Amino acid sequence: MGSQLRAAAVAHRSTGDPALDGSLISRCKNRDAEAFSLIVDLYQARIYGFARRMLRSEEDAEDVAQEVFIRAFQNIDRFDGRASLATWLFRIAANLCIDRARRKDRKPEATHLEQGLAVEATRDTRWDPEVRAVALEMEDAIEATIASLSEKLRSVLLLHDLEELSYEEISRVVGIPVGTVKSRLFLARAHLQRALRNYLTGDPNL
Amino acid sequence: MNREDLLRKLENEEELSPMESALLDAYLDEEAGTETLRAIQALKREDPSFAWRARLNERLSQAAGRVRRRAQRKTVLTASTVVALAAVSLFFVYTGSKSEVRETVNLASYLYEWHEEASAAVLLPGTGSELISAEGRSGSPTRDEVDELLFGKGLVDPL
Repeated sequence: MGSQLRAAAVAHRSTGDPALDGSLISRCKNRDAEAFSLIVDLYQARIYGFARRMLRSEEDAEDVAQEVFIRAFQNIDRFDGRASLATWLFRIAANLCIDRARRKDRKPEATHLEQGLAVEATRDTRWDPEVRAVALEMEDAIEATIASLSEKLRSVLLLHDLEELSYEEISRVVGIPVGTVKSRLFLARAHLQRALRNYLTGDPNL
Repeated sequence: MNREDLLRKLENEEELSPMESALLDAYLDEEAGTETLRAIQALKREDPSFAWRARLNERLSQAAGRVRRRAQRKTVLTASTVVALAAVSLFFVYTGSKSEVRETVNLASYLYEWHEEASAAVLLPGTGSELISAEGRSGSPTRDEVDELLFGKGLVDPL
């Protein structure tokens, strides 16, 4: 294995490569610990980021992200390759996040579009000379808005717009029909657009 | 139907007609290049801490040990099951063939005993004067000869 595969794995982080995933999985099935370590390298940021935004607690997100990889390691023999590795890992992550949220009774309330936002996005900072500061503020606003979404809308938005999974993949991850995935994505984006209207000027849907 | 109507319908969880579904697809495609989407995609991705990774590696090595032990147990169990099955099969094969042999032996000894008894019956009673040795004959004695030996010639046909 060695450095060649590791180099390919580094390139994979930004592009994604099903062939590399397949090769790593077959090595993992043969109890190759280094291959699984590479899988962790490739997906840890995505899985941890997803858990972090779904749970909003760093500690819970870390626990869930660890559990995702432990379960994947223990059940790698059952991975049949019908879905992509990313879909499989996100499915485990989504289920664990939902379980964790329910157990802690932290299930967030769905926010209505008409309710407006409890975030600082209403502050008009378009004329702030500090562009970087605005960008950071907008980033915070986006994070806060995403966090204010219901769990159902948030998972679909993150999986589609941040993790770039297809509608079909999200349907498998979350266990809902493709039509429902589209409806939830549309609602989530609408919520986000309203929340960020003061930051985003060129958006035609605002 | 405009965007707001569609939104309202979706918020109320109403069923969409095929035309409305097509409209939803069109709106989603239209949004693909918007600033909102770009802003979401620009959100930073953070790797978890080194401490997190060290903890994970530790848990993975423990899990690997468990998996290895489970695999070893499975191998041992499978091997012992195979050996046990083979032993049971061998036992049945052996005892089965042995009982056949014993039967054959029994039948042979039964036939031998029967023959001995029959020979004794032929040799013992008799008149003494016409003692026929079965060993000296090439074939089996005929019924008349046996009757003659058993009951004696004089008794059967005194005249």
